[in-house]
Amino acid sequence: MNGPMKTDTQDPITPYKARKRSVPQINVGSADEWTENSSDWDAPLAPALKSEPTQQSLAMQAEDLHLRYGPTQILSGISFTLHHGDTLGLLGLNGAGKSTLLKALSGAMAPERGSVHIGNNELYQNPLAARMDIGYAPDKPAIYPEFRVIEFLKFIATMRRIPKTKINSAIDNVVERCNLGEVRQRVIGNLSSGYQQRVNLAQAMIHSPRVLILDEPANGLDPVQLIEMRYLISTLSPDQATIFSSHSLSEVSAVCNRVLLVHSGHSILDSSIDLLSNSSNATFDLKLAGSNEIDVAALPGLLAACRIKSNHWMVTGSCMTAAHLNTLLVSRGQKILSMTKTDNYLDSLFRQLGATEQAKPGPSSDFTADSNGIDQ
Amino acid sequence: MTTQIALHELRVMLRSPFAWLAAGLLQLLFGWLFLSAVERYIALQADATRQVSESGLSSYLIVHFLAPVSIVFMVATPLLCMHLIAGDKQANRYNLLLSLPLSAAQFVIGKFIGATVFQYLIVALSTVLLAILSFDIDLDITHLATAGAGLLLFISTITALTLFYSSLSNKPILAAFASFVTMILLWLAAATSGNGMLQFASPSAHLHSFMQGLLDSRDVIYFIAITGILLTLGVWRFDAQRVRGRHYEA
Repeated sequence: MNGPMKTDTQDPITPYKARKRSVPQINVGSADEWTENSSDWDAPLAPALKSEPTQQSLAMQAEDLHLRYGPTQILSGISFTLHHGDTLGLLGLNGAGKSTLLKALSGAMAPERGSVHIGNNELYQNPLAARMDIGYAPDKPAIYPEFRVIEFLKFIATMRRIPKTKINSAIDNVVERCNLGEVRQRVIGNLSSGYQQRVNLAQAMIHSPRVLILDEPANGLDPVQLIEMRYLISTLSPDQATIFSSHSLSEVSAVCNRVLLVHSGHSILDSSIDLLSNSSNATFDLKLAGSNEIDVAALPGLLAACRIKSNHWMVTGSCMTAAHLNTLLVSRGQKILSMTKTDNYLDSLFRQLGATEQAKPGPSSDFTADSNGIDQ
Repeated sequence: MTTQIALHELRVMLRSPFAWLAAGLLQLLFGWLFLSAVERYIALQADATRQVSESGLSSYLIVHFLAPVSIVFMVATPLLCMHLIAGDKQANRYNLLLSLPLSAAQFVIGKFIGATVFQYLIVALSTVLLAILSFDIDLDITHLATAGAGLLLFISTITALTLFYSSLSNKPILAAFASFVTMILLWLAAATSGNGMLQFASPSAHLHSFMQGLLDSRDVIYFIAITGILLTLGVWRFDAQRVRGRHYEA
């Protein structure tokens, strides 16, 4: 069923690595630039994000997204920007709000507040024009099982308003890129889940959207197909940007050049993968004592800081030592309960978030199972 | 774009084994109704030693063939159309469809047209029976055409009602059940309430005029207005999730 990987290189990851390297270096701003509005979950984003993008390179800009289902607040003030060539990994435990955020970004679900700009069009003020630039693949393949692959792609191409004369070439293009050639005339319902996931990807890519939104695209894929999918994302045009949600840290580390971590509907980390995985950076799990809360993220020299809960932080600094961090905190009147150096920022952060959720009363037991699903 | 969605919906129905099964059963039922009506009419005429007159047979066919067909569609349409939107929700296609560069009106009206055309095709097949009869007997074509037009409007209204319920539910069978119960209640209301408001609200009562051969503009406007209102509600509901400020529940 599953055909061999169709690549023009021996190493499918190589092009992606090249792409990662092409990402502009991030400027680390001064602490003064990013200390405002730092009272809660919304606050502690790395100063690295304060690099100034050019308007031309901006593929998507989400600002202050709030969304609720009935009484439950699902998204609370999520903001980020996405540039052409970016591959943003959206991470979070189950129930964090990842899929809802992707629905809001794809135009399928309007937020109560906030805006999403795709190019020059605001998604909820100029929805039809903005949606032309979005490709969305839901977590479960959105397919018509009774249709043939080619018929389904033709329908989506028509709905995406591809001119009639270009529909066949657009279909041929995605069929080749998603390696669907041998099943193009087959009924979708009879295909394996891996192929159905590829069809799901193909429909999202068929109109070469400016922003490609993929909700857990690795679902149902075997290891070979996973590599193919990574390769597929790596070969996207530099004019495109991708948002990619996943439970898998290794998947995000391999495919993405940026990561956005969502927890309880809040964005708690938005940073470059390179920055987090740089071996010269040091990461500390920090617990402070007392009620005199300070904004740790505002400390000078930090590259990334994430508040797990009150007075519990994960911080990363370039060439930072425990002594240096200790000095910074003590000089600001803070008492340190514990400070542990950790090797892997994302890994440690996920474990801490999982532990925090388990410690919560009530329905927190959901997260016990969820954290097990995290690929370490 | 509406046409494309309508054609797509028609294709979806033509690919559905359930739709084919339903269409086959309906044809069987209609054939049985038709033959039984003709046989009974011939038996009545033989007893009365009268000639088969055109208005007599046409009226008899309308009462004993087309009117029962309309009742059959009160069950068949909800079953055929229950999946229109609820099926997309159940098959995880709904969010993708919401993200497409389509207006809600294009989407809902396209689906309505596709589903209606499919049912019109079923009705058109059954008119072959009448056409065969008309080779030998002069039927009252005007009367039959009026009754047929009423039946088509009636089917459109049930389709719009089912589509609206389908937009409210994640489960197609709930949409079918709600639509069927609504139609049965309105039918019973029309049959038992005399000339009250309930009778005015009932599609069955307005269909009755058509079946009598009366083309009353009030009945035509009623069917068009009710269908329009239900489609508007369906459009509103479809957009509820993706238009800012509308209250919705997951």
